[in-house]
Amino acid sequence: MQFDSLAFLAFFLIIAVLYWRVPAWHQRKNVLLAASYLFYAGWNPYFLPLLITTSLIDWRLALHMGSITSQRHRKKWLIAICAINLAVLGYFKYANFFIDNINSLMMFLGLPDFSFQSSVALPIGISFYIFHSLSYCIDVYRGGIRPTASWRDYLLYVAFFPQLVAGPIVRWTTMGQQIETPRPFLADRLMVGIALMVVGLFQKIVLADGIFAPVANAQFDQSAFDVGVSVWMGALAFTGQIFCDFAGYTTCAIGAALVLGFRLPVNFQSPYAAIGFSDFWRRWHISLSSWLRDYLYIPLGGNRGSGLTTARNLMITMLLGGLWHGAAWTFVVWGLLHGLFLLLERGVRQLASTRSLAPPAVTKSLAWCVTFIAVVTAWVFFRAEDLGVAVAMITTMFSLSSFALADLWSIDFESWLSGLIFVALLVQQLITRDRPLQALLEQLSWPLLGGMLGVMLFLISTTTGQTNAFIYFQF
Amino acid sequence: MHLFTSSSNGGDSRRLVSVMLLAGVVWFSGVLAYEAHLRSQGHLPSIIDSPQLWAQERSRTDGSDAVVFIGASRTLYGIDLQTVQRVMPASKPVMLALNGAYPMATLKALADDPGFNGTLLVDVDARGLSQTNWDAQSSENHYFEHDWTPNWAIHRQLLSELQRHWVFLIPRLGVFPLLKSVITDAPVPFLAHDSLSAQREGFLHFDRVSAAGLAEMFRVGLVEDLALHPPPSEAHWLRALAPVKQWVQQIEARGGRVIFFVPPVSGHQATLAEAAYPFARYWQRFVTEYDLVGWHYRESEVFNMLELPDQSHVDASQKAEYTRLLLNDLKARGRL
Repeated sequence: MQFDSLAFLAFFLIIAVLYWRVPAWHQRKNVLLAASYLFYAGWNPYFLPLLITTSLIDWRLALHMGSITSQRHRKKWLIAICAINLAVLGYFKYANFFIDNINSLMMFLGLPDFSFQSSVALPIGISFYIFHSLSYCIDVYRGGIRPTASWRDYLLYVAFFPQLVAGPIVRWTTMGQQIETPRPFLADRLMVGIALMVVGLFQKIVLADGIFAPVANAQFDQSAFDVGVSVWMGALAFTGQIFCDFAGYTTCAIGAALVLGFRLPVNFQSPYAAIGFSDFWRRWHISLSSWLRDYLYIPLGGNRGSGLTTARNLMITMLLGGLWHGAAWTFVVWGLLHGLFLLLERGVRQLASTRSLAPPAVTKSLAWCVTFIAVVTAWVFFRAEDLGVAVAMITTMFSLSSFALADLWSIDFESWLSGLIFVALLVQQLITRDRPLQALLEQLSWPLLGGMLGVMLFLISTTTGQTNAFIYFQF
Repeated sequence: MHLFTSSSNGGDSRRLVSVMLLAGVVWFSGVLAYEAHLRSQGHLPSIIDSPQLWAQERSRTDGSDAVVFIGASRTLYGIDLQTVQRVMPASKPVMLALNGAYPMATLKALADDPGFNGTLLVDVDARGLSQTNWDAQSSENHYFEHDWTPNWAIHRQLLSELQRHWVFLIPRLGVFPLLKSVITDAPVPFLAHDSLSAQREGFLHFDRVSAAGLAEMFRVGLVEDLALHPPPSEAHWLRALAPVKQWVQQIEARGGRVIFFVPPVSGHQATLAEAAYPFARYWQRFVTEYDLVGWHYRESEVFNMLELPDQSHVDASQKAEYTRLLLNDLKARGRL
């Protein structure tokens, strides 16, 4: 199911009431597990057995691995678990990409008869639930956690519906204790949960789909990119869209979990207020970046070796991070670009540590500016249909000859509105850069919070355009 | 690493009730005021067509009792499903016609669908059979094949129920289009003269619009389209239609039937269409040379005399009679 559908609204109301009315904790967990599978089947019931089977296999293998004392044997089991999970992910997510590239190569070599058919359907949320499982198994291997003996608890950990299809990527260290011990019913937690769901839906329906998406789509679907102002408007609109789309989903997920008494980690913390690229990745999709750091970057050696080794580790991590988002060359370039940005930042930081470049306030402002422009530029690769379109857009964005003051007056209402809302979003992130959304909501007086939620609900109700899938569902 | 969403202790249920009550009051009063404003402007509630609504009906095409109508606006707004049920009592009528889009992509999709073995009535004229128009309904078919899920099926049913009663749920009457008309010189949202049922049965109310104005708009549109897509030579046009015969055979092999028909037009619509695609050289050859079941409004006197307010569509008040005449004429000629 999708959070911004009436089906989910009805489903969630029924499940929340049923869940809190069931007296015993183990029964509540049964309700949640059944609800989670129903939620998943709402998309495609045929992929439900895949989710259940991979979860059960991982649970059983991790349990066995946890009972082995020999580190060498444990490693063998971990390799087996990783191989199974990555094979499933690789087949469903990358088979089409691989075959398409083979076909392109055959065409290039003048062998069109050697082309292959590719039509593997992508199970929704597979990247997320596979990463859940992998983090659990790796943590068991490292001895950081004890494997759970309860298959039901493990299945619920992987499939817990608020975070099942688009995160946050939650670890057992976060969820294990919450699943094992009964969740208390707290009125203020319920209120904040509902408020977060309303804010998340507002971000998705009103901002992402209603205001930013039409402008971004209109610009990215062009065949020619001549007007610099328009291309920037399109790039900024997508910058706003992807944040409101993904952060909106996560906010809903955190809110829905909170209504059920669970706490999920914050996944976005004012990312466009980041000063530097490492700061950006501490604020954008935090659960993924920390996953990549803990389970990929550090095992590769992190920054413990020479400068060259660190650079290699960074580039590999960001390349795979890009590929995780989607099987396309545009995502590869997006990941590599961010890897390059991180490397450049390391270089500048090393330089700055030896000599003072400018007063701190100036340095910070400049760093924010550079970070923001680079992030917007990289998003063009993320959204563009192909590399050619992305390069054409970026060329126009940074070509002085594409700019004319008069172009500002030819921009349509939708672009102006999108631009103004984006500026407001940016200012809000700069002001509240280190304060989590939930803390902000909790601090509001009840009349202000109630009034704000009422206005948001009104705007959600009167912005009923075409319902769009959340962008991150495809990952 | 993680900034956890904190949770305070103790249940402040009074704060919860206050916040929720106030939010509810603000929301509901805002929606009521907006609804009242839209109604005062003359807007009426209507089910709004969407790929989801189309897919909902598309999922009902299984079974030999299915009588599926595909085509464009003349069928969407012309066919009365209750009359179909009366004339063909054991049937399950399904409306898949789409406003402003010729149906060839849907014909192909139904031919490729092993579950479809019903009766298919294809509203398409010679222009619609030209290859340039074959993809017109491909996005709806793509949506049905790739994005239609149980979640959206439930969502769409609930949404239709709400749209039946509330005007503010019409997307083009949303708060942002209204804001645009207030701030810029964009026109205020127009009063619709069409409406739709939850089964995608369309109605045109010509008392709410200038029929002459619409007729002129359609004339200009057709002239422009014919200039942009000039008719191909009849030989080339006919040769390109060979796959259509295969699609029909696929459906017939499963026990289904396909009837091609051209609904009536008048005035400029009729003369421009005849000038570009002469009946005898295009449509008639398509039906005879590929040995297909076809019906053209020219064959029946009563349809040539039919009064069409905008030269292209029937009024809602004419639907039942028009549908009865059409189905009975098809039956009388042994084509249904």
